[in-house]
Amino acid sequence: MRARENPFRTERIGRLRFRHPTLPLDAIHRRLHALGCRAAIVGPHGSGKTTLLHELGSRLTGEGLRIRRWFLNADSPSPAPRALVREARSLGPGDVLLFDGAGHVSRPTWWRVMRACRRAGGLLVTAHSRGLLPTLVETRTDAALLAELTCDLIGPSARRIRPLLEELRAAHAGNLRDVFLALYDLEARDDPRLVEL
Amino acid sequence: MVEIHVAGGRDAFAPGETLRGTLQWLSEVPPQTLELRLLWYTEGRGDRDVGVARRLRIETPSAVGSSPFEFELPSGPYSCSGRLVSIRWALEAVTRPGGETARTELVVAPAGREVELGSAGARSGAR
Repeated sequence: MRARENPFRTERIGRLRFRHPTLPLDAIHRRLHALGCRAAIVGPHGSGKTTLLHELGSRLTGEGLRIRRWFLNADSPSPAPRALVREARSLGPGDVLLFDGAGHVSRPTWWRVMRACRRAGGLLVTAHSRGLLPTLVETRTDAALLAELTCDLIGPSARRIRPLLEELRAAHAGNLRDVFLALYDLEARDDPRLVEL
Repeated sequence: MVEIHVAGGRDAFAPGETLRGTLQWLSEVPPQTLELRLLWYTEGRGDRDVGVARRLRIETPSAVGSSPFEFELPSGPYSCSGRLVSIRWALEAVTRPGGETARTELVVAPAGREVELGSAGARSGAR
């Protein structure tokens, strides 16, 4: 199958909307404001933290706030703490910093960044564990969520591959981003489990 | 409303050819800028790469208007499709503010035919 026809290609995965097994997005948004727009989205790899961060960022933009985005992952070079602090200090009440991967800076650097953000209108971060800021929501995945997202990508025929989805979810420890990459590879290889869909 | 019209209704070109057409727009309030981009982008397993090859920017256009455009197509990359990645070309028009867009997909490759990498097309469109 051609890459541009593969239903699991990256840009289609990127267009999937955030879903939480129990909390609607509106409730998460309200809770963010109740926390003074200073909060952490906590969850394991591939559970939707970045997707939720982007969706909340869009909502905050719609409220007239300016969004500043930082991104760090395990492969990112270590940022210079001074540069982070300098940029954080430049934020005012109309700015919100969305810091994806805040858990990748050292704890002393994090404290400095957090203090430097005092004037900012908000600070919303993602992390794999609690403790950076009050927890806004814990993201998680389950079989029903994977089935629903797969249905968005390939339609009702997703029901016929539920055993395969469960097998992949277990193999990737619930990381849905990796599950969709695995499905991409199976489609690209014309795997018989997907061919008949 | 923004529309891109390629001369002759063509959607496939060889590298180095000249792409001609007309950009038309209609809005209640005149946009501040209108930009037409000729770009390529990747689709597939990895993150998307994008390259803007040519750009036509119209500052403070009227609310209703049209403008001819002419781009010499670059020598590459070719439109191609494999199992891991496809490279596609497009014309994209964007107004600011407002963000109205129009998009036309193109093939830019020798003889105007998308290059197939490996046996990518063996089961294309099966679902």
